[in-house]
Amino acid sequence: MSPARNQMDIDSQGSYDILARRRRYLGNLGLNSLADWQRRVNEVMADVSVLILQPSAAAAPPTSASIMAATPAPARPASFRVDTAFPAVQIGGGAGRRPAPAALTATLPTGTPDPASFVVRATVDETDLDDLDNALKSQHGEQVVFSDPRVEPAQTCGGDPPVGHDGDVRARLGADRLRELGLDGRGVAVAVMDTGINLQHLTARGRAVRLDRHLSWTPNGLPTPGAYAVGHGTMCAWDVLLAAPEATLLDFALLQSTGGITALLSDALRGYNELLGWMSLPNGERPYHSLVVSNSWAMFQDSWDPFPPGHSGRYIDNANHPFNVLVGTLSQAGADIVFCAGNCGPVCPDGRCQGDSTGTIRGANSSDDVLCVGGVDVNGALVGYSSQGPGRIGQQKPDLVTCTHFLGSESFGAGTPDSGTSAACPVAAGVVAALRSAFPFDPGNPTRSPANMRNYLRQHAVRAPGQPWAADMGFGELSSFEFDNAGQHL
Amino acid sequence: MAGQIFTIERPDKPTLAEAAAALHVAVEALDAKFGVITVDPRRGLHTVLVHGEVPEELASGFSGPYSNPRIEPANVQAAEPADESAESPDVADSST
Repeated sequence: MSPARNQMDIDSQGSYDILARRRRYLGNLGLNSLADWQRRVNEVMADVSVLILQPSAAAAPPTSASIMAATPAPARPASFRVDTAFPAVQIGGGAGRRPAPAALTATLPTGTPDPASFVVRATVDETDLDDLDNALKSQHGEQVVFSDPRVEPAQTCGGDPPVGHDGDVRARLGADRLRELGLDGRGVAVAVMDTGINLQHLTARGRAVRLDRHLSWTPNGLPTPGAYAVGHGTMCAWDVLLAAPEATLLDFALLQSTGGITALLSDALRGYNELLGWMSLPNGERPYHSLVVSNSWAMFQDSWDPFPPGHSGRYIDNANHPFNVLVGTLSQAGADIVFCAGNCGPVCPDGRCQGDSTGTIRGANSSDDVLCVGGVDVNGALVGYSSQGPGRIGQQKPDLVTCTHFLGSESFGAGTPDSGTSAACPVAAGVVAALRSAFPFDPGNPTRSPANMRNYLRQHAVRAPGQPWAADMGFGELSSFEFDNAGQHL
Repeated sequence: MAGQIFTIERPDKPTLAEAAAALHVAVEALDAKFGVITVDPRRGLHTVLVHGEVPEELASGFSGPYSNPRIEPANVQAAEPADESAESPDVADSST
């Protein structure tokens, strides 16, 4: 390698030296090509950020030049770079050194930092870190190189207290704007496919609820729509009404068949069959012009499906399973079908996921015929349990995210959040119902199809620039702030 | 018992008895509450829920079994709900 002549050459020389040193550090790793080796090295080794303590008798912030001068070449590896964008931070203000408290002597430098000391940030190749640390410690007689680890915001997890309340959800959705536009769910049926609704719990909290008992349904035939124990279904009903206060709820307590909160897919099949029965009727004969179906249920493990991968009878990744076919049929009949993404997100998956956070959007939750909804808190931060894509049937799932983990129905007790992607799903269903009150399904108009509704919501979601779809946020966060132009699209 | 789902492809929807006969099972083996559900009217695709054994060789037009797995709500809390299970009043009920 010829001697360096300018800064670019220095960088090139330095980069080459770094690569060579990493290779000596790690060995050949059993890889054959240099490209493979470079790729593997970049996975395991990197520059690390460190904080350098710089005493300054002049009580003036050090400069990168002064730092470089204070760190002579033998101690300063070629990979050492001062971060000139990071302002030197003074961490003391007086003069002279004070002895450390005796109890802490073993763990702290021999003296507290010079009151006029500054901390600067630098990067160094991880293979050079020990050399830098030892050299500077020897030079200064104390520890001056400190770690600068990565930190990340904590994501909301199950068991955490609520983040915000349903007023925040309405504000984030732009629900007031929806009402100004006349989008309130009036004339739209929303089927809550869940554990059953307790109407009294909702009305006691000030909600005026439309519930159609005639078109509601239970798998065991008990005629108690609206009178179920307060719980998950009541929460979902509350959350539908945030954006669609004038929608009519249909109480489908299909998650009741085994006496607890577990049900079988065949119960969902029966429930969907009931809905198809009247959605298949011609325009003008249907009891409601539009139907939104809210599904805050899922499978949490692959093992819940008794058939192995590749079996023609499997459900979780098989578009030909009868339930997945029926979902498509109901969608073709004009129903807007909304599913939760699930709660097996990588940061803090639900216990039922048994630690598995890969490929957890299963079965109908991932169908191309549904809107799959993940969860963010009222600040727009992804919650740690929101399942991430791709889906097992449709790839680009979730489609969207919206709010969850907020203080809302308190269906699980005072102060408890409406949580899980279970809450995000009916929030989204309510937005769809709100749109349908002005843009009802019309079998003769393709722009009013459920497929076009999904496309519209995806296109008008709020997302990072240049980010078409992401495994965690889908096409972005559901937002109604641009719904003024909905009439041009729906 | 969960049972297994089978499909029948034919233009007209069969009765439960017709489906049982075609599957070579007793009609009692088919879940009567589930009945015969049409999942795709354009294809003439219908489903039944079968409890018990079904012959491995299925008649023409039948396929299955399909799984009938358990499903659960997707909330993250396991807290007991508040008990307000009293009969609810008729409020703003739009049913006829």
